[in-house]
Amino acid sequence: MTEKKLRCLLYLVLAGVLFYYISIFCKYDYAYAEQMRLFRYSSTYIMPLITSFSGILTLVADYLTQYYYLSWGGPLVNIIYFLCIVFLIDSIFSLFKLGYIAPLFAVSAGIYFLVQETDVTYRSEDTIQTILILGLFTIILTLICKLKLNQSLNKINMPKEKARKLIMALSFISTLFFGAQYFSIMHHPQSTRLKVLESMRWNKDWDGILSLPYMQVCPAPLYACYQNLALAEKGLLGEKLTAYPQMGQNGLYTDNHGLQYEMMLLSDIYFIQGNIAASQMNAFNAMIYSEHLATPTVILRLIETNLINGSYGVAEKYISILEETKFYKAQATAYRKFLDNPDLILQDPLFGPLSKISKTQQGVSTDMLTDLKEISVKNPDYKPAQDYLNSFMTLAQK
Amino acid sequence: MKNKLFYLIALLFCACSVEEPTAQKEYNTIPEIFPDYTDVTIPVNIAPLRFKLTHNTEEAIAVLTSDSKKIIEKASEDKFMFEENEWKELLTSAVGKDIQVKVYEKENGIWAVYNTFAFHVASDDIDSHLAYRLIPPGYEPWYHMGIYQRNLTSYEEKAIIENSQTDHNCMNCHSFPMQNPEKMVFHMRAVHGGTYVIDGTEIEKLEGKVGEEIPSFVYPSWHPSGEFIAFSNNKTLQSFHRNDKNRIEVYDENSNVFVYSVKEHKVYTDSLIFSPNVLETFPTFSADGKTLYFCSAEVPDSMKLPRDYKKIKYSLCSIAFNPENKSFGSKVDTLYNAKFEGKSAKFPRVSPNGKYLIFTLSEFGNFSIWHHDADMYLYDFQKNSYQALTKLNSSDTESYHSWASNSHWLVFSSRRDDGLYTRPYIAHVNENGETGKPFLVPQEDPDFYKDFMFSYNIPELIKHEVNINSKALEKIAKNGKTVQIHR
Repeated sequence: MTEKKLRCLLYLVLAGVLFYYISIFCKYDYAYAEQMRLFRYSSTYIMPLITSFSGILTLVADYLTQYYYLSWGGPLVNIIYFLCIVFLIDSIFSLFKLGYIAPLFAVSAGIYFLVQETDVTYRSEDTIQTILILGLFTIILTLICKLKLNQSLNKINMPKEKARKLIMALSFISTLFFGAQYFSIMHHPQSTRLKVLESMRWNKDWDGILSLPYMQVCPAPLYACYQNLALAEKGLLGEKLTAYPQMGQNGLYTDNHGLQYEMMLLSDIYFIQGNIAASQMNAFNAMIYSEHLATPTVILRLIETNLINGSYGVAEKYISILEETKFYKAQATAYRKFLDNPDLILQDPLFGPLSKISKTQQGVSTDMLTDLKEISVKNPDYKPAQDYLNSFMTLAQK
Repeated sequence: MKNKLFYLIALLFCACSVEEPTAQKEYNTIPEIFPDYTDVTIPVNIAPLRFKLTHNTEEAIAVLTSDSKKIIEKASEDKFMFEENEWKELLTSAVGKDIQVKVYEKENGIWAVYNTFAFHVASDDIDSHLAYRLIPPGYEPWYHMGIYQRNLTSYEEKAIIENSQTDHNCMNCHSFPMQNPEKMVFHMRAVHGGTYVIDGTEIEKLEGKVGEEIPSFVYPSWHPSGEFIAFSNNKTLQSFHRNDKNRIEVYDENSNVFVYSVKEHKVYTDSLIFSPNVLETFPTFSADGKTLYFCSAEVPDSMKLPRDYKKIKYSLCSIAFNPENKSFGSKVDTLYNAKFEGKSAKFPRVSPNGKYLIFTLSEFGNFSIWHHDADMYLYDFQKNSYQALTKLNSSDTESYHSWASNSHWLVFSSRRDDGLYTRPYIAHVNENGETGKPFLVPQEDPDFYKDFMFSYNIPELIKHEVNINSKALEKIAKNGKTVQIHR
């Protein structure tokens, strides 16, 4: 087997291993990233973007990120990024007969971008741009080499075959070692836990949240908020509050520091409490803070709150937006039957009670506890509100 | 060979050109289209009013006819995408007249035709550009926003300044004297906060306050001379409703009015417009600059906010202003008395020819964009009376408005389309103060507004493009010296 074929085989094997690794250890990173973008099959979305290079990059990034919705989508797209980078760098080195040290740089670069793609502040546009630049560079160098430098390259003295293979093997190993170090450094426990919690919250995996090992220790009020939300969604907050570790009243209601996930969490907490106006406000604010003003689960929440409060025009707008996507279309379309149909909303097991609660509310909102007291007094049969209010009282005493 | 080539080209041409079909059926109704451009009055220099049918069709054709020109347009995905040059020629041929619009629709292989409607082409041009802020219609937080300008004769939109250049701060309240974009004032809040006055290429960053007495400069309005800017100083708070179609309630705890001299960097005011128990706000000058209009609401000590927010009702008032010695009159006149009339007035704007004043009325309060009952009214200075602009108002919010330089066009903010996202509408105003049916500012794609997640805020017509160097503005915002203001 030639050296080049051996390198290609090793890259593919490495890609396979990495695919398996990121499928398990990075799935929540991709789930989180998927929520931060929205690709729409719509001329009003696509046309403004294709007028500029940065817009095209965003279009491609949005298009590929939509597939993170699928459990294998994120790993597959990222391994494709990895292989593109690796093979392009390898090609560049090969043009200069330096293929035996290519793995050191190619695999390092590939792993670097794999890790970067798990960072919430990173933009996939940079990975795509890097691939395009490498591709262009490869094409230009190939043309130059074919036209001019073939003869010059043959005169370069190369190390002997065995030495080259040894260097190649060592460069692979060192790259894997440093790459593993880099992965472990980048995966901050707190960041990872937040992505896990958020992913479970979006998917309404309340049992999943409650069974997370670090929830038993519950090191922060923020985690308690997720835990108590999960209990409330399962109708167990009143009964099981003290059976779970608590962090005082701050574990029922997170402070708002202007972070998107805080607002989305608050939106859920208010929603289950029956405070639709506050839920809507937090969802809207979460949408404002998203990079592309489009977070799918936030838009779904806004559809719900607008249907409940009878703002059918706005609900229809958000439904139409999600109907232009591949993976949220069905969910959005399912809400259409509620448009201009208050009777159906009242009959719905989720919307009905919340709509009735909403109608009992008057005046302007003052603070969370005052609003909650009013909801509880006027809706004594609505268990989640009662449970939250009782929990506030219970935890105030501790 | 030449003949074959000719016939080939002719065949291709025939394949591309569209013919007006022969209808075998008539729908005795006008078509349902979006935007609703049926029987609107439009300026001759407006970009094509592209629209779409609100339902799916097999095939559709629109025929636009003037006395001497005709456009036949086949729908693409139910959208009629009129070409700009053809459109301009058509409008030019129909100045002061009507363009007849006939829409044909094919159903089960048979062509049917709707009732004809018209575009009424006014003889008055409209100012070429529209400036506005784009911001999501949200609560207190913000992230993406900017001040933009749209060329109304085409679909081109450019940023005047975007907050991505200034660390995502807040920018608002852009204003121009007599629709002249050579001068502009606007504010930035939070980071790089201040009031920015632009005169040609000169940019001044004002401190935007005068000690503790005037902690902020808020709603601006230029004097027609460009020498002064009237401001209000507002302490604004916001709450949201627990269950109300008006989601948000914005109210002032305190507000006063003063006039800023651009050259002197000095403010002038009077106790009649700067009183402790009265909320004065929304100042605007008359066309001759000798009268200052403003809104005023009494707040007795017994009133507590936000509890009593519904009791705050603003009257529309005026006071004389002498630009020579910067003094104010000794009495305040009332054009609309909230106590007697029962509603609350805001956003007075005088037409450049001085004949009319448009203002907004709603049941209470001052931030009418969040009041679904807000409507526009026209005050006629010759008749000393006002009337509702029934052709412009809808069952939802009509709020901010501004005039074109020739006083024959009005742009206003409306939430009629979905109840939340503010859209700019344009309406014609004739010599007698009568308005035509308003039309939504056209976009390149008729579906644009359906997906667009920003509201159009403070639409202001301007005579030509704003030519500010946004990089220079950014530099001054971040590193520029701040000019102190005196009283």
